[in-house]
Amino acid sequence: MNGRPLLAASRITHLYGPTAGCLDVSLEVFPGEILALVGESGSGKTTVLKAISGQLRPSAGQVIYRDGQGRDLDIHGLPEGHRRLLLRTELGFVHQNPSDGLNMAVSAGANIADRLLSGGDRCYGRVRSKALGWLARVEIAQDRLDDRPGHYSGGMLQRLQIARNLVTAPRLVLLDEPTGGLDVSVQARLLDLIRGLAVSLNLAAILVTHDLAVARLLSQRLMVMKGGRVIESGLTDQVLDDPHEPYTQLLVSSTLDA
Amino acid sequence: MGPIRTGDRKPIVPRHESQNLEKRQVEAMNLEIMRRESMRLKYSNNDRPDAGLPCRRPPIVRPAAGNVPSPMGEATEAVPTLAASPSPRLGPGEMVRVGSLSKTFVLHLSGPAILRALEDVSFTVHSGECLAVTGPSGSGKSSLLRCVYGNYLPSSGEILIRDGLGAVSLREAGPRDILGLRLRSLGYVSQFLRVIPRVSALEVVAEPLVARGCPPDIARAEASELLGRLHVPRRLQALPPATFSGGERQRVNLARGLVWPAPILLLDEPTASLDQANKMVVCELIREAKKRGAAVIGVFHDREVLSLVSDAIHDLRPPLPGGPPRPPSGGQED
Amino acid sequence: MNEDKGRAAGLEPGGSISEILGRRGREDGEGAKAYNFAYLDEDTKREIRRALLKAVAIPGYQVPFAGREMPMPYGWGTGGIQVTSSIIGPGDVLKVIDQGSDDTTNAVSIRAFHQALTGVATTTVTGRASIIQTRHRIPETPLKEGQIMVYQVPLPEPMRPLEPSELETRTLHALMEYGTMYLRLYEDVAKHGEIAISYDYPAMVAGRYAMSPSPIPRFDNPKLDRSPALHLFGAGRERRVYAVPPHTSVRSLDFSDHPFAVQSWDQACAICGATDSYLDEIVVDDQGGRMFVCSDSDHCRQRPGRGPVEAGQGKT
Repeated sequence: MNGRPLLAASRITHLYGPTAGCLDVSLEVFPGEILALVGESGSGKTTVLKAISGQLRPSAGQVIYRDGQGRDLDIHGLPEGHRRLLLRTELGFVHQNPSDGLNMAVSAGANIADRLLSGGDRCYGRVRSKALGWLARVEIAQDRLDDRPGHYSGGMLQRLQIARNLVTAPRLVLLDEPTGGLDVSVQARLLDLIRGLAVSLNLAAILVTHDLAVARLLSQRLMVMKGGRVIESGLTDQVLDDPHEPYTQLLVSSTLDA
Repeated sequence: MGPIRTGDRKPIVPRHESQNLEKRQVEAMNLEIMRRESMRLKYSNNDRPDAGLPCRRPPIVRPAAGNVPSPMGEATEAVPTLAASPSPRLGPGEMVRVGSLSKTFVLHLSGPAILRALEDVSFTVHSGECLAVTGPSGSGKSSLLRCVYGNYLPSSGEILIRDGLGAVSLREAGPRDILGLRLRSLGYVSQFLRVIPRVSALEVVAEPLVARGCPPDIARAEASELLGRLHVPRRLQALPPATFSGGERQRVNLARGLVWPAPILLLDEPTASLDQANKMVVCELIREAKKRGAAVIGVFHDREVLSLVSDAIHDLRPPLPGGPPRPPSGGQED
Repeated sequence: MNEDKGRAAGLEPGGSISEILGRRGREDGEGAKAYNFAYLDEDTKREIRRALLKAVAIPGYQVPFAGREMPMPYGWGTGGIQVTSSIIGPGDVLKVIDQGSDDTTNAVSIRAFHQALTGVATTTVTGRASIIQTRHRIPETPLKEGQIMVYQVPLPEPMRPLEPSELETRTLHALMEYGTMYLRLYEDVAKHGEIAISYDYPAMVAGRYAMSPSPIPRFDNPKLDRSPALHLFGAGRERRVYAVPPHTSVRSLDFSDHPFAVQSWDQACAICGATDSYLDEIVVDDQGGRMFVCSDSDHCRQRPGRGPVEAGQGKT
């Protein structure tokens, strides 16, 4: 094993009343690798993701994140201000529905600049040029900088959300079904973008998806969830080519192209 | 970690070659070791390989003059072991050892149906050697390669893979260990090219080099040269392979697998859709790989290619239908 | 005509609150003593004073208080009136302005209200007042130590335009996460090339809390910075008070490359000739003729070299 994990979640359990969101989920993510959580709706993937990002306090379990200075932080033990700061700087969260992750009341440039301004940058020119740069990296036309996101298409919204998250160079990005609801060609473009950024920025990511083809394309390791539990995990190509569990075999065989 | 001196290392000596090696050949091999070692060390620093380092890095010190290595079997000095790995269970020159490997699929959706793909397979492959895996259709040849690559989990048995100076047991290896192995030691050319939309053939072939620390422009140059050897013209190189013919895709696949100098190469039907000229190029590439000390395991349907490149043959008999059932070992999950 | 001019300078004759209260009092036989001093009962005043003390102790922090039902609706200055009522004493001298003027309807009514229910002296000269209740302006005359400014505030929360949730804004204040404020400024510069907020310009108090200084023009923001006077802000509908203690830093938010700047005019005041005060533009005739006049009527009235002039004395 090379090095220590960037994030280690141990025995995360969250109960929504009597219904279990997730049960006893443990995972580790190392720098520069992408881990996929796959499973059908209701399998608990999003619950796990929200527990990891600090948005949801799990009923049991611990999430330890190793920050840029090498300190191990218990995400749910942090004071709220520190946790929110972490979520704004070193972590990123890409929501399934882009309008959940964007401020629809301000322009696209303001959306990207948000984290920079929150981080204390008080130079308008510098913030704006960084926003322009990121718009280019996510392949949105520069003249859309001052438009409200309400005028954007679905794929553009998702790319804007990615730019908004990546502007502070987070070390770990959590993606919740980033390609859900997008047309195939738009999806391809977005996946290509994510792949490229992950490589060029050496991102670690946890990707939640129900689409096995997306998981195969983007991730190195895979965990299959069912009923809130992780039933199988391993290398992505190994789990998808040599599934052991019945449910995994069902998932793989049901997919048109995996 | 001081400078790497060739005197400390035992160069990997191919099995069948003369014991009195020319100094030039020794130096070439030591350069190869040096480079592989530096790539391994780069990865072991817990970070992505430093993109600033050129991928063909000259050795840190010159090989000691007049130092002809002793024949295989005698160690001039104690071979230093990798820090965290167990004592190497591979002999010198051995690259892959498969012991009593069995793979059984349990298809829960069909019954469940039990499918015995491999039964009690054992062999060893040495550096500079090409082992051809033969057998009738369905005898598990692809499955064997996939087991060695870590793509399939063996049901029972052992696979030892040479990793630098030590060995890794696939039975004990976790997913990240296997990822490391694939980065450093294992190359794989599958039968099918998985097409990623919007990525050009050149990028597809250059990517393994970039991932191992090569600067992108040098990587692209190497990729382009290799694709050229395989008769993929420049104008095609810039296009995504989605629209390529089967043969063109296979050549992109081959280039991707062969562009970086893997110590162990796994080739699954590398010449399946190729014409005569390209087949010869592939044979040439395999020969070059063997010459630099790589171990090759291949599935070749073409008898000509098989006779040209292989040094040994392992024949897989299909499992006997009425034979003694061997229960699969417990699930090899992580 | 009641001409109680000695006490109520500038009061419009007829129909005043004091007259109404006085009449009622005469009917009851008790006069204005039917009401508590300054209208609010003592327990309420104590509660509001406690809130004010807390506000002064935490500059810029919005302190909730239980606002009382006042004899005028929300939007007519109930917050400022409650603050004034809580702090005013018999020895105080009160000045009330609305948009800088002592003689607009609201200023007159509020001054009469306080005057009738307390009997305190009132003035139009800024330098003579101990309490100045204001709507939307700070007087041009520099304030002195010992003076108290009371502001009428419609919306105390500076982030409300961008963040509708009260829970969220309170959290942002508590955690000092003011990125949202700068988003607003960013949008302005992106749209207009400069920060276009002309009134109610948000400012940072003592480097800790962002506050809305009430809808005073940004021209007046610098007057808050390290002012020797005490500034109290009351919002009646929202039920919040906040304060800027004397000599506290109040820095208007801006970008390093788009610094805060105040308005300026090419003209001077048509009446007094001042070039450094905030000017109102007044349409004087049906042909659209305009003139620029000091917004601060008291400032306009004073002349250099003469003593302070009350409204209603001498020609303006």
